[in-house]
Amino acid sequence: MSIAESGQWATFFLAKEQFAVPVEDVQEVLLSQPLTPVPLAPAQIVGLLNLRGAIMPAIDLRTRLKFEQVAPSEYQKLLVLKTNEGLVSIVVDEIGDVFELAGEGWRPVPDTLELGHRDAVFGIFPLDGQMLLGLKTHAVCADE
Amino acid sequence: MSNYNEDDEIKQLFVDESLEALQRVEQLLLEAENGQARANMVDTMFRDMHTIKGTSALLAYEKTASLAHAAEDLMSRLRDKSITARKDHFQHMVQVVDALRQLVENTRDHNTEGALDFSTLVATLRHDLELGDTAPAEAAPAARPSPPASAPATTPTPAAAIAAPAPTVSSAPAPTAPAPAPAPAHAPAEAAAPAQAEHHTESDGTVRVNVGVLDKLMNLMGELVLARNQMVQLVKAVHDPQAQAAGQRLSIVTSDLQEQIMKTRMQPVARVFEKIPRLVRDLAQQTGKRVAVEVEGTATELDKALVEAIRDPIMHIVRNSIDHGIERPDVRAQRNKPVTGRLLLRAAHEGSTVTIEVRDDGGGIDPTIVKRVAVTRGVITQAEADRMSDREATELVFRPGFSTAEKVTNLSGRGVGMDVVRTHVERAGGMVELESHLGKGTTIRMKMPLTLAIIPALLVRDGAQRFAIPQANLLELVYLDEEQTRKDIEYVRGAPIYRLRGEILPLVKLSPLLRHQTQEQQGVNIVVVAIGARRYGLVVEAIQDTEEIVIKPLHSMIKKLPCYAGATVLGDGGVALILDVAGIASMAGIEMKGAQEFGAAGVTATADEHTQSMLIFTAGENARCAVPVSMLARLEQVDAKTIEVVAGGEVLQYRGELMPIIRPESALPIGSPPPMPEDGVQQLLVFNFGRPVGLAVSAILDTSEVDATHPSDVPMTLGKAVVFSRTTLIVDVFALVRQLAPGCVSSSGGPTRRPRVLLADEVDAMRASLAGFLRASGLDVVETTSEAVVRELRNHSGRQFDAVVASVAKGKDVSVQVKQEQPGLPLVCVTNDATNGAAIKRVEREMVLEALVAAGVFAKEVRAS
Repeated sequence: MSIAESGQWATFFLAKEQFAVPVEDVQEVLLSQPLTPVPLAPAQIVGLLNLRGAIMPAIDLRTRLKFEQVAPSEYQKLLVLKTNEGLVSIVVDEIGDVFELAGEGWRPVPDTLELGHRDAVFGIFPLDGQMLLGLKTHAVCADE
Repeated sequence: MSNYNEDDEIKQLFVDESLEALQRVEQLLLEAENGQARANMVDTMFRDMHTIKGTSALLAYEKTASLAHAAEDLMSRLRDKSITARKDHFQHMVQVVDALRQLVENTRDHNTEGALDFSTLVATLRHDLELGDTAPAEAAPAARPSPPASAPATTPTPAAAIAAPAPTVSSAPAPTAPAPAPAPAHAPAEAAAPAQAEHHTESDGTVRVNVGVLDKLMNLMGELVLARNQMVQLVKAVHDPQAQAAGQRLSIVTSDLQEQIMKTRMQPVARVFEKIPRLVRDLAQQTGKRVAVEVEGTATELDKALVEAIRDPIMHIVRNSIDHGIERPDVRAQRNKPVTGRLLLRAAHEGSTVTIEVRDDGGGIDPTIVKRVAVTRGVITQAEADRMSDREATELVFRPGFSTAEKVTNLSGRGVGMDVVRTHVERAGGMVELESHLGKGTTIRMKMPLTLAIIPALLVRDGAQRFAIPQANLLELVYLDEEQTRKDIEYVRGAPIYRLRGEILPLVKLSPLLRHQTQEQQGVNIVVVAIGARRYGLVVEAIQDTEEIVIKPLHSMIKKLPCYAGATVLGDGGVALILDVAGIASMAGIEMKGAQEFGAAGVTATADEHTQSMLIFTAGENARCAVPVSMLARLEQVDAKTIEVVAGGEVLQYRGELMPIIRPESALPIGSPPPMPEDGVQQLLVFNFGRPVGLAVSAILDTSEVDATHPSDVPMTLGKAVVFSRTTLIVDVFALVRQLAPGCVSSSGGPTRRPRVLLADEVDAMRASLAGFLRASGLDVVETTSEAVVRELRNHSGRQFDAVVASVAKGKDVSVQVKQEQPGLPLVCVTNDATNGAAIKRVEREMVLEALVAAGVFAKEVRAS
């Protein structure tokens, strides 16, 4: 039993880590967008954005995963994910390649992984010299 | 998107059609039961049963088919008059309708007819047919109106069903009584329901459309409106006449299209209303009450989603009316009311809203009982109950966890109450009002917007971003310039208030609530908003435009914030959050307490008759004191350091003059003044009896309605009262000012001599209340009773009275004695009875004062402004 199915995975970089999400969960990638802040919202919500009439929250994974904050870059990109609650976008540093990954290649999260990640990552995939972190989309894009 | 295959579509069509037909049949049956038979009713029922039978047989829904078949047969015989229609026939038909509905709903929800067995009911119908007109009364196997589902699962033969008739036949009206023949003679009944008739006939010009398609259309429409808004702004920027013309055309077409699409979603409230008579019938039977339902304006149309949204609230209100409102027939008879209670449902357009009213002529809501129940259920404390007006008490039924039923019945005392009704209605963008007259009945009014998805809204800016406020919540906009801001915004217990035409409006500043920064600005923009009867002022940085907005739901991570109702895309493509006016009120903590105390019972004239609105403050060693709000000129907060000591007295530079500051501790035995507060802010009550004077107090607590004042021996007071469970001194401000700052009392009235009035009234509370008011207005009042009035006049012959105010209750009219004793002495008569022409109603205290002024007793300038 593998912890994920075989298939295509889209990857993105955030604070030098490479994360993976199933390709079919990705709707599109947006360049930096004007965001409308939501006062009083949880800290990871950086704002709302309008994608062709659909309003979705933009989530700052850095905050969510308790990474060190950096000044927002104008090169930052938004990855729009399809979730069962509708579209949600996450702010990422850079978009990576798409990989075809075999399900059995996924490994459980090592205990050494920092606490901030743990509940947001379902497993890791070692890939020549680098490590993909499998993102639990529903855990970061839903009401905790 | 639409995964409907052909079978599903046919099934859906069958379900829709059948439920509609059943609704129609039920309506006719109820009318027949009320004796308003229609000419073609049997015919209609026959056709509907025939259709259901046909389609269900085609789709192999056998139970449905066999039941519809039996009903069709019966109708067919009634139609060709080979059997005369009897009341029990119609009752069986009611059961058929229930059973068929259950089957059809099962088909819809579970794709199967389910395990229900209605063979007994089929047998009953067959039996009706066999008996024909020969039916002996006692033999009619009138099945109980209990769910037929409880019938034995094995299929009994018709004979078995007849052999075992339910023993409780008596619950049905005597079957021998022939129902009124479905004769066309009942013209009035037909005329009474033309709208429904129109609703029934489905002409060739209509098409059935799946609701999903309509919803999709509506969403697309929303997108189009947004695109249009965006385009219009872009076109404005390019100065090209052709582009502008095109933009304008787009704009017009979009609006027209929007209107038409809205129309496709419109449904008559009849959708909800037509279920009511049946509900009422069942409830009335269960409770042993007699209720006649009247329905008006069934053709009034609302957006489909809103019709759905009001369904449960209306049902609940109707339940409440019958359960708690309308009395039992015997009670009604005792109260000289018609034995049959009346329930009126009315829908009507009012501008861009639809008002839906449920009115009953029942017992009304008794504020005393409501208060008691609220206290025992812990909804409010006894102290709160004590200072609550009747109107506020009635509003308690909207509080969570409230039910007024003395005994919990299975109808409405189920823990969900009017609070749920209010929540539902407000969630759909509407508001609920309640009006109740004890002994006469209750009216509950719901005001709903016509449509949900696209609403007009006001855009405001606060901090760096824009927000939308639904127009439905909007009452008016007020702008105060710098000067007015300083002058007109007051603080009660630290909370800002503004007097809008005399009514106290609590203010909520948006920026601290949402914790964002705003620019320093000179004036104040107040958006006056309402939620039901409650209102408050939302202070924002800037008011922008109005715009048609499309409400988009928020992600669940944001949705739980009470301050937002959704978000929308604006004309420039930006996103704005839609403010939830009710949510903001509750966040600011003014929802229940503030708004009601300030608004409803504050200083407005609607306050209770015997009460006086008082400002409660502390002074000295935490002593509670109060002054009538009507005497106050202003409330001020000043920097304590700006108070200077000049010639032994304290003064403050105030509006270009020196205002004396007096301290209540100097004259009242309430201990020494507390040390200066750390923030250095001094609270001042400013009075003006000719010249302004400031009363320095420790803290301003609240305003409250104060009734029953008790006499007090403390000098410089008008009495004492229990307010917020604490003994509170009612300060005689006039006397205090006269003693501590005599220069501030207008010379025209003579600062040292106040007009002396003899006040004679039998009712202690009344007298105390009026006396307090007159004293507060600057009069010297001697209180007495009617018996003692002459004695008082003689006793005080040395110190002349300037006037007599006397109550002239029946049999206690002292006016003649007063006139005999001191002819020429001004006399003002007060009464409780407004029909006594010469007298002033006792509660009209202002008028008493006016009368004294008119009699020359009293110079107007002396009065506190």
